[in-house]
Amino acid sequence: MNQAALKNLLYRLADDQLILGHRNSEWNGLGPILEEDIAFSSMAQDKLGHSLQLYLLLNQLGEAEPDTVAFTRNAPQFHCCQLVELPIGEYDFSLIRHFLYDHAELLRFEALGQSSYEPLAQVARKLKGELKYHVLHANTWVKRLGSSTEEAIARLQQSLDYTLPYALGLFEKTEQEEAIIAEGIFIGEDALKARWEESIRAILSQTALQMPDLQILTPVYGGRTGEHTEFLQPLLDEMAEVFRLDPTADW
Amino acid sequence: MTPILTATTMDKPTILTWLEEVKDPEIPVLSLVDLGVIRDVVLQENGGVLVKMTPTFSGCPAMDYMQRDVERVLHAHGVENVQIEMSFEEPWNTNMVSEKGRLALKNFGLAPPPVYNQVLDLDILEYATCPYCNSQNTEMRTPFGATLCRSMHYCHNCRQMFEQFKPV
Amino acid sequence: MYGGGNTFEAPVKADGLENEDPILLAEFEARIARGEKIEPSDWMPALYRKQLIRMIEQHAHSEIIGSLPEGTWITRAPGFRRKMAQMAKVQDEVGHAQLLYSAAETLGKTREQMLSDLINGKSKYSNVFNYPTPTWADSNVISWLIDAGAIVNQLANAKGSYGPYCRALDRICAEEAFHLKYGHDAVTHMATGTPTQRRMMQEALNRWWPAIMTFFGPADKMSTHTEILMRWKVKMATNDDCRQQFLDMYVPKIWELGLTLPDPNLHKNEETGQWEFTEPDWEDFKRVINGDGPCNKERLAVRRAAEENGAWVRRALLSPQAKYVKPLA
Repeated sequence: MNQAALKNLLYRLADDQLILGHRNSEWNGLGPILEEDIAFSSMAQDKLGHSLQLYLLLNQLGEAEPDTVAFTRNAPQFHCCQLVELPIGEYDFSLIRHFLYDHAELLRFEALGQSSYEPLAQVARKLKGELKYHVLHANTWVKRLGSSTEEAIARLQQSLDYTLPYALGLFEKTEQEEAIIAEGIFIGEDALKARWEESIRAILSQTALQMPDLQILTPVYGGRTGEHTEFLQPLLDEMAEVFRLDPTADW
Repeated sequence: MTPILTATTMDKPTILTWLEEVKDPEIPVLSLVDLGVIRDVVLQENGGVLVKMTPTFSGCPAMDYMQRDVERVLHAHGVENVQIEMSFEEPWNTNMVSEKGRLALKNFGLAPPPVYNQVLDLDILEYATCPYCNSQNTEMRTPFGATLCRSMHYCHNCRQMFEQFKPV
Repeated sequence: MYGGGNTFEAPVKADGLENEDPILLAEFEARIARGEKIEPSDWMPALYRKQLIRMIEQHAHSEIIGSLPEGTWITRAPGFRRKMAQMAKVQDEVGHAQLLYSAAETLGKTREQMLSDLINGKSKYSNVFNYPTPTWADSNVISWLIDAGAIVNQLANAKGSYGPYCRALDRICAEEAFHLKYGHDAVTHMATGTPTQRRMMQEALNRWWPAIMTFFGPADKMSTHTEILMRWKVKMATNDDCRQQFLDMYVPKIWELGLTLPDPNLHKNEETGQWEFTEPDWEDFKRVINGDGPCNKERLAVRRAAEENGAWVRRALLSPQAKYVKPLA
């Protein structure tokens, strides 16, 4: 198996989950209703659990321990897309990000369930069951709010328009793309994107929201190769804050 | 002093009985065996015991404590060499919760997870039975409860919220 | 998670009871004396309803406000293991608030009303959350000792007379027991760690001890007469009883870890079996309850911002155009 290709894919998957997990956790105490504090917190926990499982796979392939990999790298060494690092903003943005992201993740892990790399396939089959709940949650709220007051519809539409270019960054290919597909590790970003578009359209069509023409949008790329927004490094510093008080300690 | 047991004096059913003592840290009436996270116990030639476990939810912080409790209980029964293998080979789902476990959950005030066939359709969440009054006149409030494994429901009959161990 | 609301009692007098039907009242009291639970649709005196709402509501508020200081440590928690436990704990707390608000709603006050009374200062929450948590060690102290105090309180109240509250408390206590394990684990880890970690833990404990000593509310000799609440099994243990029980269970554990407590007078009187200590500063306690603590404004500001920023969502959910979506659909 092509290890470089495999690791490249695993880093992208793990970093996305790790960073969005942290962002989701910031909704504690701030949600519009208590149920949403809890929902975002649950999804955050799941996502951190997912990233840990993926870092463990990397560890088995010779990379450092999960805690070291997750909490000691700096922004340029991260492979997450820029979508996940944006601050939580208002609820409409976080909801739309969650909707666009989790549809992609569910489809991604469904496909990975067939991966030629069996350890990854096993993890993927496990995570799929949890992700189903995330998508269910996103769909429920997008359908509810997306067909309610003018105010809510306008907010969601604005967030959708703003977020879609970042969401397209989820499907940014790396130089390993061909190898990943050729080895049967993953179906590839283009195939995933096609499934994703169909999947989100099916939900949006049940709301008053308009899906912009994806062809004319410019995807926000760069995250997969270490180019990030100004928001990532401060989050990473926060994540490492306690470790840095005494780097010799076991925390 | 506890006698040191070896593979010749203990067998799998005995070990499983011992493991009944290990409970879910947040649901003190449910053993790990009944929860379905202990998938197998293998006696090893060197007298050690290998316990094969699979996590419920990948982000569940209780898994860590469950592992340690398994070790502690087996040590207490004189098994010196305990090995734990966490694997996703046979991923956990709620159909693995035993009948005994379901009953324990209900008595604890948690609606047990509905059993499903092969593919889980989440519409099943709408049909929870209230663990307090057995009414099916209930509705799901949110698929995310206080812990990862629960959804929140409301019973129109006895007018209170209840939690369900949610199907996965 | 935190403090059942026996910390803030309004003066309770049995007046108003003369307006209750004496036969129903006698029957009600007899049921409680027999150990039966009162359910939402049963008859109950207005005073019982009012006191229970106050108590459950304060408990629920304590859960959501209590989740704020610990919540800020989720992103900063060192490492996966601690982070996931911290996250799960904070989420449990909000989940408990949800269960508790629902239990209070069975008595006739809506969650919206309760939350608005929290923001406008009409109803209170556990005073300990008006103190800051400047380091990771402070968060560990809360996880262990504040939760421990809460359990003492809640185990007692779980034997009370109101069915929905007792059932909620049973569930909550089981989860709290897990938090306690986690908290103890985290404190032990720090207390037996590097010199930096040990220093952080000792300093955090010194900061929190005075607040912990006030956690169960004023001494019985100065608190309001609560005989009727005890008879109705609304309140199940006195403040002093809870405090003594807590000290008995946890002071030895704290000392075992090589940590000290910042009260030279703290010791157990072997003759009486009672713990003796420097009387907490109850004047300061009152001042903080009444809004002048280090973090009161900050905590309520977060809550208020959440309410304001989320108002459009709640409006949308109520709108008649909102497509009714089964939570699943």
